[in-house]
Parts: sequence; structure tokens; C-alpha cells
Amino acid sequence: MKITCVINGTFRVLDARPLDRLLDILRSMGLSGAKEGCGEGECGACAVLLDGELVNSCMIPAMQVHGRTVLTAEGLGSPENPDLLQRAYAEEGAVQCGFCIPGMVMASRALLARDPHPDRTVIRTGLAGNLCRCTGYEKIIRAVEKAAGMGYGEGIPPFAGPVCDYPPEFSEEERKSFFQPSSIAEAIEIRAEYGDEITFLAGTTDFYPDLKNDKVEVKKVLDLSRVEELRAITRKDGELFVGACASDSMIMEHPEVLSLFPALARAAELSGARAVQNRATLGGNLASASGAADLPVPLLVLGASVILRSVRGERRVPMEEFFAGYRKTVMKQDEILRGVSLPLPRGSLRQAFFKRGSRAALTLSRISVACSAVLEEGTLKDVRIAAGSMSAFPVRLPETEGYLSGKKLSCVLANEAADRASREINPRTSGEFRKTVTGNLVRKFLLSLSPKEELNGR
Amino acid sequence: MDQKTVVVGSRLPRTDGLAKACGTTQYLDDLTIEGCWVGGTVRARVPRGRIREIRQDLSFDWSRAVLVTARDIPGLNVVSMIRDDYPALADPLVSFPTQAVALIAAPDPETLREALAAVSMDVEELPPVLTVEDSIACTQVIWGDSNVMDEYSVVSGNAEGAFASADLIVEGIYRTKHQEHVYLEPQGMAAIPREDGSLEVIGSMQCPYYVHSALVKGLGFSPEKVMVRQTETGGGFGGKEDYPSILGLHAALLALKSGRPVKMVYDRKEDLLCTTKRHPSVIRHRTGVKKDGTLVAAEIDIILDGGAFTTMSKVVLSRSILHATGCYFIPHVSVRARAVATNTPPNGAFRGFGVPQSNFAIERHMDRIAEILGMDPLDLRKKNILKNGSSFPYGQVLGEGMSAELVLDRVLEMSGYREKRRLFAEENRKNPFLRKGIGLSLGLHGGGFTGSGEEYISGSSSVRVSGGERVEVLVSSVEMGQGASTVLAMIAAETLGLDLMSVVHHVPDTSVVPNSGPTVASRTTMYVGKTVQDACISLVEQMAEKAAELEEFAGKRFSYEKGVFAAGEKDRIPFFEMAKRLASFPGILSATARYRPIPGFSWDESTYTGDAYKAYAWIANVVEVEVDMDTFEISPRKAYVSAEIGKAVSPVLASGQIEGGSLQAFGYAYLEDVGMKNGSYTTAHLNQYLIPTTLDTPDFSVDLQEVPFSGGPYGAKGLGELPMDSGAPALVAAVGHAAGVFPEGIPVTGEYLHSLLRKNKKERKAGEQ
Repeated sequence: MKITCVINGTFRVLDARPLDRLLDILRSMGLSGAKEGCGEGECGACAVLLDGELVNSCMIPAMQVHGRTVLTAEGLGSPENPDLLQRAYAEEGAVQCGFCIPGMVMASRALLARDPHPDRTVIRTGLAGNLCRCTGYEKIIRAVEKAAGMGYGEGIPPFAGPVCDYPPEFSEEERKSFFQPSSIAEAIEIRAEYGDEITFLAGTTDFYPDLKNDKVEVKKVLDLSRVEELRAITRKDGELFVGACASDSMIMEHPEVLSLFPALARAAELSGARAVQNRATLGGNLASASGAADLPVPLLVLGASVILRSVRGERRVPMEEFFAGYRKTVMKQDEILRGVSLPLPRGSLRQAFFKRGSRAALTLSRISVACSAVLEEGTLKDVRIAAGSMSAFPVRLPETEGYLSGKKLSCVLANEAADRASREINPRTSGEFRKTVTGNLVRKFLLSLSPKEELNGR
Repeated sequence: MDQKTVVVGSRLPRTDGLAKACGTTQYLDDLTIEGCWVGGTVRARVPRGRIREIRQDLSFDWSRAVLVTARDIPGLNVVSMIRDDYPALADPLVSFPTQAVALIAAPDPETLREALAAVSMDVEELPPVLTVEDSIACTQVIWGDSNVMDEYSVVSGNAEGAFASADLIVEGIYRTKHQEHVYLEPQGMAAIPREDGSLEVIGSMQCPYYVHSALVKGLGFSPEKVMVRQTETGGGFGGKEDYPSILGLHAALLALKSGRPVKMVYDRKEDLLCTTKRHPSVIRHRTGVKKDGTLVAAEIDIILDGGAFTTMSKVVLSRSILHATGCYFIPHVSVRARAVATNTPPNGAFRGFGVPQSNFAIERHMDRIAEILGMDPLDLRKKNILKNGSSFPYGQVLGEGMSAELVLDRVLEMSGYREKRRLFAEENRKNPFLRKGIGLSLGLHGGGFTGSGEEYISGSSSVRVSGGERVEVLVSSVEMGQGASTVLAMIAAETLGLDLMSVVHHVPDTSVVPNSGPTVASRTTMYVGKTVQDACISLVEQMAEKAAELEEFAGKRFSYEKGVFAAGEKDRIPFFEMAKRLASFPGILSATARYRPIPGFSWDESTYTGDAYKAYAWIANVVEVEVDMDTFEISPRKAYVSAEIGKAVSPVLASGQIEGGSLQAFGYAYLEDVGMKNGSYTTAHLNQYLIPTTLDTPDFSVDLQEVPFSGGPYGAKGLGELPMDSGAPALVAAVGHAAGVFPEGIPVTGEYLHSLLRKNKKERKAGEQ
């Protein structure tokens, strides 16, 4: 195929195969600053900016680079004429072996573009997807602080918009297997025609690791990334609709998600580090039906419905009924996932999402718990609890919910609920640990609903 | 020693920083090699067995690829390291699951994948030995006649007798697991045959001459037919000390058989599953103590899991035993240390080299003794700390440079340890769900090779003037991120009175640079730096002497200071100007210096007594953590480190080493967890083997103390491994303080912490009944 893009300020028309990784494209052009440290989005050594957003170039297909702007470390400056950020890295001693540094510099630029004067927590969060094994990060953080102090972030121009408005040019052979529709109507036609032969592409954060580990066989590719209507987050008729291609970044920063569904925003925020969040989509998180997926857990307690569309029309499936087994959903072979609908909560609905990974960032859930409830005059109502990473797919805990609903909240009740929640789940591995933590998190949620003094009084 | 320096001790930025920040630095996989094929490895997949047959599926067109088996090895089928027990390719015995059996080269990765899939094996499986317990019990004999690869003992005084004078005896068993290096650049080597029949081998490595020796032996080539050149190395941490010899030999075998350049770059999965790790350990301490905390006697038993072959185990074990009593004086000591074989991937070099294991055990044990005596761990340490004049169990006594107390006092001052220890305990009673803890540890690291090792390798360094305006430093010591190329250049620039920009570190290439030894053992600054300094002095002397023979300066005596040759007031000739005038005597413009044994030290290898190291670096750590008692999550919040490293040639790089090494130690303490199943590692991805991210990292406060070592350049000592030795026990102590438990092993995962708390709860209940 032929793709048109701008790389480090130069307009280019490139020949590529649709699934070639952006990383390989850049490296074959001699732009070897982006490195392959893992090829699975786990290290950030290949990070570049795509339309101004941080991405891992090992997980970007060529067919999604068309019309877009790529910036790499080489595009910022050269050893003879480095930019301010690169100079700060060198001067602060933030560089050791250097292998992670081009990616780290790009992650730093991305975070300074969003927040030109970040505190240490913001810097740490912005760099959490970029592993460094040499420096202990201290000097890297100082380099970013130094660049920020010199106004680096303020000097970054905003994203200027697409490079071109025409679609990419596929070869005749490619047109038989690669589809990149720009509307839902087109997408469902293609889906209807090829059914289970279809591999969906959207954020491709699972696709490339699966491809690398021989877990996916690609026959026909349906890329949904150009369907603008799938990216929308809109409020209508007492519901908030989140499109299937909304990314974790969009979800966690959307004002209405933040104010109405903070548990969902929190799940998106904890789902990975920035380069992954910019790409990973709600639809992918649901459709992959992984037991460790983060977003389904709050969606279960928030009463969400999954909206599936096909040429036959549209249907709504309650979140509870969407998963059919390990890595299986109820999606029919002619359906695409359009998004989820969340009923607007009653004003007093309290909600929380907790995740216990194996480290603080960029980690799979080992335990995740979402809770929601209404507390009226000390009495619990509408209690919903869901747990992830325990079984084939996330589940509600109806017994614990039933036990709590209608009861007066107290420390004793919270402890009893913790015990019941522990007993109600059935983890496959590390059973005692996961049971205890799940119970503890249910208790934590309950205890957070009232001031400590009030609870102790009861 | 207190001479004024300009470059040494300055905050000049490292010489390679900008190119790395701009992405223009080229690592092996970034280089284009004309006509290069890619190489891959066929592995055994069983922990122990005998290969009956290697089969090639003939549905694959084998003219498209090249297959190498043990039969194709022209020299000896060994990867030469300290002992020749490691075959380059299994034949016919298989000793661990990821052992290489055959190699394939193909023009491109797709063809290589097809070819790899077209090789199968008929292997008779044999019962494996998978644990050190089974190895010692000799359930199967898999190495030598007892499975014990190496054994050492160190004895001082009469431990057995001294136990009788103790008020109590404290015992403990401490365990550490594998640790993976996770250098960000995976292992990679390439071999390029030349028309004259010689072979060039390039790649990511720490020890070009180790690779050279392995190639000479494995290929049966004469030394001059093999050239080894380091490419930019994206981190090593010891992981590129031994493994590049294996991978380099593999690439070379493929290159020779195919007659083309062959590159082998592991992807992360292959790197995680196949390359060496830190030795797991089981260390038992039995200590006799007086009521006031005085240590009177100790018995220590160290067992390291060597994996299937020796690699570096012998010397790793040696360091373990020599650091077994840590920073404390114990008059009567008996230590036994063994490295035993298992049918698991060979364990190898990793920053710290046996010390992180033994230091974890002694530091934890000190905490245990303190707990049993009801003393603060700090007071127990102070009571027994090594001082100038104290002796080590192997008999060494240093009159100066024993800085354990210096760094301990500094770190206490920086951290407010005593006050916080009390305060956190108080706060935790108020907030039982999110608890704070603070822990302390000490550490030491002997710089350079053990015993007479430096005398034995007798490394040399050269400097030369090139191109009229540059001085090159020629050493086999590599830049792998730690800053060797900057630090060695700083030492040369200082000695020559030049600015840093005028000195460059030449790419380590065995056909050009002398053998200054491997880039290991915290020896580069301390020992190689010294020979660089000596070579610079020698260069200047030569130039001054020859200048007097020039017609224009006939008979003048030149002195040299601050980059200028001077003979009286009138003749002041800058270094490079003089070099120009001496250009017709090219021999004059380079100089070599060999390691000169430092007087006053002696070591007896047969009795394992004497001066194990000529200088030690010292470190004290205080770590603050938070422990979420709902989720058993550990969050390191603050790390205070004071280190005494002799002269800090580059304080910026030195503190960078301390921060990076400390974080590696913190990861070791609670995050990094290599999974094992049937002799194989199961952690195949970076979402399974987890290293700290920015959000798992504490804020660092680092303090450098400089007690100059007269044998080092400008007083410098070794530093690189020191922080890795000692961070883990401080973090674990902090977790113990926060959660009220006593972890005896690492990593302290959520599951482990949970199980300790459950045990506490059960014991409390049992106590109530």
C-alpha cells in the first residue's frame, strides 16, 4: 500500500504492507532512535509521537499511519543542535546506556505538552510506561523538571491536523483482505460478508503482542480506526454513550465520565501507561473478553449495556450477559461493537474502582474490584459489587450485594461484608491472597462512605 | 592525595549523552551489515536427556538456510569461561531446557521462522535435578561426582568453642530467588567472515577479550584470526559478561558455515527465557550473641544454585563467602559455601556477584538478632560495626578506609531514622490500613578482582595522540551506560591537563586495544583508571624527553603542567603543539601502562586467607515505605543513601550509579520474580517479569563520602556494584517495620506478605487460647 504521512517534518509517501509496524518503517528509513526493547508495548523504548500523542511504535500498523504526523527523537534535534529537552537530559546525567532514552525523551515531551509545569507525580505518571534499568529515574525526573522550568512545554505547538484528507491507497491484492471503512454502515457490511474471518483492528495494543506470540491468525482485517462515530462520548436521553473506539485517555479525561462515572474513569486511568492508554479502546477491552480486563468491572456495577450493531439492526446486551466464557462474548459473527450505554446515575450514587496489580503502573490486574451504592440516612441501597481477574471473566457478587442492601452501614457490617465477598469469589490461583484482598477492598469502599467517627459510633 | 583537580570531580556532562538523547547512537541492531543473514537457535525443551537424533523436515527447502549442529564445530565444543564445562551446543547430553542444540541462519526472519519450525528432535528424557536440596542430596548425579561445582570455607578463631560463651544463639535461614538483568537492549552479536579467512565478531558486550578467548577455543582459530569489537551496549549489569561468549560463538559458527555475515539479536522473550540470571541462594546463619548485643561467634552456610554449568559460579561463590559477615566484626567465624548444579539454565554474573545474596542474609539476620534482644537494629549494628583495625574473617586488617560507621552516621543524619522509626509506629496505630515503615541496611563491596586476581590478569591500558588534536584512551573496558568512556577520559584529561573534549575513549576492539581486563567487578575506574593515569604520565615523560632531542629545543629540560610543556619562561609549548613537533617520531606519541601490584597486600588462595581486596567501598541505606494493608502493596517512598567510594571522579555519574543500582536492589526485594516450571523460566514477557517503573520508585537523596584510596586514580575506588548489594534488606526491614512481620526471603510479593500476616494472626489466636 501507499501511505502519505509526515515524519519529522518531512512529507512522505511510503510503500508498506498494511500491518508493517511503524517501528520497522522508521528503522528501515535509518531513524533508529526508536528501539525494540520488547515488541509488546511493555517497555516504551520505541515510543514516538503520532499526531502529537505518545504511542509505542511497535504496535502501530502502517495502515493507521496514513494521513498522520510522526515525530521521533531525531526530529527534535541532533547532537550538534539538540533541543532544550535533550540538552537537559544530557546535562542532568539522565542518560546512561541510552537505549530507553529516545523513547523517554518523547514521553517527556508528550507530558510537557499536556502540562508544561508538572509536579513530580505528574512526571512520574507520564513516564510510567517507559522502563529504564540504569538510572533509577531520579535524574530523568530532574531533567524533565529542568526543561519545564525553561518553558519547554509552552513552546510545543498544538497538533496541526491531518496531513491529507484522502484515504490510503491499497494494492489490488490488499483490497481483498484489508478494509478500512470510514462509517459504521460500511463496517457492518464488511463484517456481514466475512464474519469470523475478520480480525478487528482499533488500538492494536493486544493485536501486536498476540501476533508476535502466534496467538492470532490474520485472514481479513477490518480496521475501525477511521470510523469517527465510534470514537464519540455523548450524553443523550438519560444515558451516557461511550463509543467502542474511545481510548482509555479519552475516557479518563472526559469531563462527563469524570463527574458521572468516576469509577470508569479510574479504571481507564489504571489500565496502563500513557502510550497504551492513548491507543487502547473500550471496545477492545470488552471484545477481547480477558479475565483481567479493567473496564468491564466498573461497567458491571454501573448498569451498562453493550450495544451491538449488524446489518440486521442494533441490540443491547446488559453487561452481565456480554461474556460467554473464557475469551468469549455473545457477539454474533456479523456484529460489531458500537459502544456502551450507561444510565445516568442518581445524584447520590457512590462508586469506586480498585486495582491490585503487581506493581504501581503498567501492570495487569491481579485483583480488581468495583463497587457502587447509595447511602441514605445511614442505610445502604442499590449495592453493586463486581470483581475481575478471578475467573474467566469479571463477575458480580450478588450474595454480598443482597446481604448489604437495606442494612445500616457500620464497621461491623463492613467487616462481615468483607468476609462474605471473600467467600463468594473463586479465584483460580493465589486463592487466599485474592480472596482476602477482594474482601478488604469491599470493606474499604464501605468505610469510605461515611466519616470514620460516624462509623465507629455505630 | 588532596591535590586540586579540574576535570576529575567536576560536574561535566558525560561525553555520549547528547547523541543518546538525540537517538543517533547506533546499537548492534541499528547497524546495517551488507549481505547479513539472521541466526536463530533450536533448543532442547527438556531439563535433562540424551539426544538421539536431530531431524530436518524435508518439506522445507534446506538450500534456503544453514543448519549448524555440534558436528560442525571446528574447535572444541565448549564455551570457554572459567571452566570448560559448558558445551556450545548440546551433544548428546541435554542439561537444561533452553540449552542450544542447533543453530540456523537464513536470509530473513520469515525464512528463519520456517526453518526453525522444520527441525525436531528425538530426545531420551532423563530424571532431572531441579532444586538445590535435591542436588545436595544427589538424587541424580548431574555434575562431577557430587553435583557440587565449587566449595570454599573461611574459618577464623574457634566458632564452636566461642558459642559456649554466648548468652544466646540466634538462627535463621534466608532465601533469595533468581533476578533477571533486564538490560533494555537485548543480547545481540554478529559475526562477519573476511576474505582473508579471519573473522570479525561484533556486538553488545562487557568483555571483548572473554569473547575472543571463547572464539579461539571454539573455532580452533589462532588468536590473530579473530577480531572482537564492542558495539554500543544498552546496559549489561553483568548479563553481558558471560553470555556474549555463547552468542558470539553461535553467530560465528553460523557465519563460518554459511560464509556470510550472520546477526543474532534475541527478542525479549528469548532473552528472558534463555540468558543467565542471578544465582538463587539459601543461606543459614547461626550466631552466638551476648545480652548487650556483642556478636561472639557465627556459623554460616551458603548454598548457591549454579544451574547446569559453571559460567561464573566459582567466582560468584567466592565473593559470597568473602562478604558473608557484612560490615560487622565477629571474632569467631566458620563459613562454608557451596555452588551446586541443577538442570536449570546456568546462572551467571549479575551486578553484586554473590554479595546481594550474602548481604541480604547477614543484614536480615542482624534485624532478627535485634528483634530477639529487643534492641533497635541500629544500636545492634553500631555495637558490632567494622572499624579501622578490625579484622575480616579471612584475616585482612585495614588500617584505613573502613568507612561503615562514616556512612551510617551520615545516613542517620540525612534520614532522621531514629525519630521516624518511633513516629511511624505511632502513626500506624492511628491508621492501620496504610502503614509506614522505615528500614536500615549497610553494605560493603571489595573493588576489583578477588585476592591476586588483578595481579593475575595484569591489565594494561594505552593512550595515544591521534589526528593532531585528540588523545585516545585504548582499553578493553567498555561503555555500557555506567560511564566508563567518560570517566576514563576524565582521568586522562586531568592527568594530561587537557580539557575533556580533547580525549576520547576508543571503541574496544581486540585488534586495536590492549587487554585491560573485563568490564566487571567494579574495577574499571579503580584499576583500569589507574593504568590510564600511568600511561598518560608515561606519555608526557616520553614526549618531554624526545623534545629535548629536537633541534629547536636542544638540551632543554621540559617540565609539564596544565597541558603545557615548559622549559624556562620562554619555551611554553601546549600539548598538541608539542605533539605536532614530534610527529616524525610516531612511537613517542603513544604509551602503555600495565597494572603495578600495590605493595602491602597479600593473598593465599590455598588457605583462602589474606587481603581479599585492596579497598572496599561502603554504603548505608535508609528506606521508607508505605504498605497498603488492604491490598498488601508495598510502595517505596524515600531512599536515603550515603556511600563512601573514594574520590568520585564524576559525582554526577557516581550518584547515577547509586540511584540506578539501588532501584535494581529494590526491585529485587519486592517486585522481581522469575517463575520456574520443570527447569524452565516461565516469565517470558515484561508484563510477567516486572521491574520498577517511575511510579514504583522512591525519591532519592544521595550523599557521597570520599576517603581517598592511595592505589586508585586520584583516590577513586570501585562503586558500580555497591548499591545493588545492599538496598534490598533496607526495604525489607521497612516493610517488616510497617506491617509487623519478619520476611526471611525475597521477593516480598503480595502473596508472601499476606501469608506472613496470616501466620501472625494465627499465632496470636493460638496465644490467646
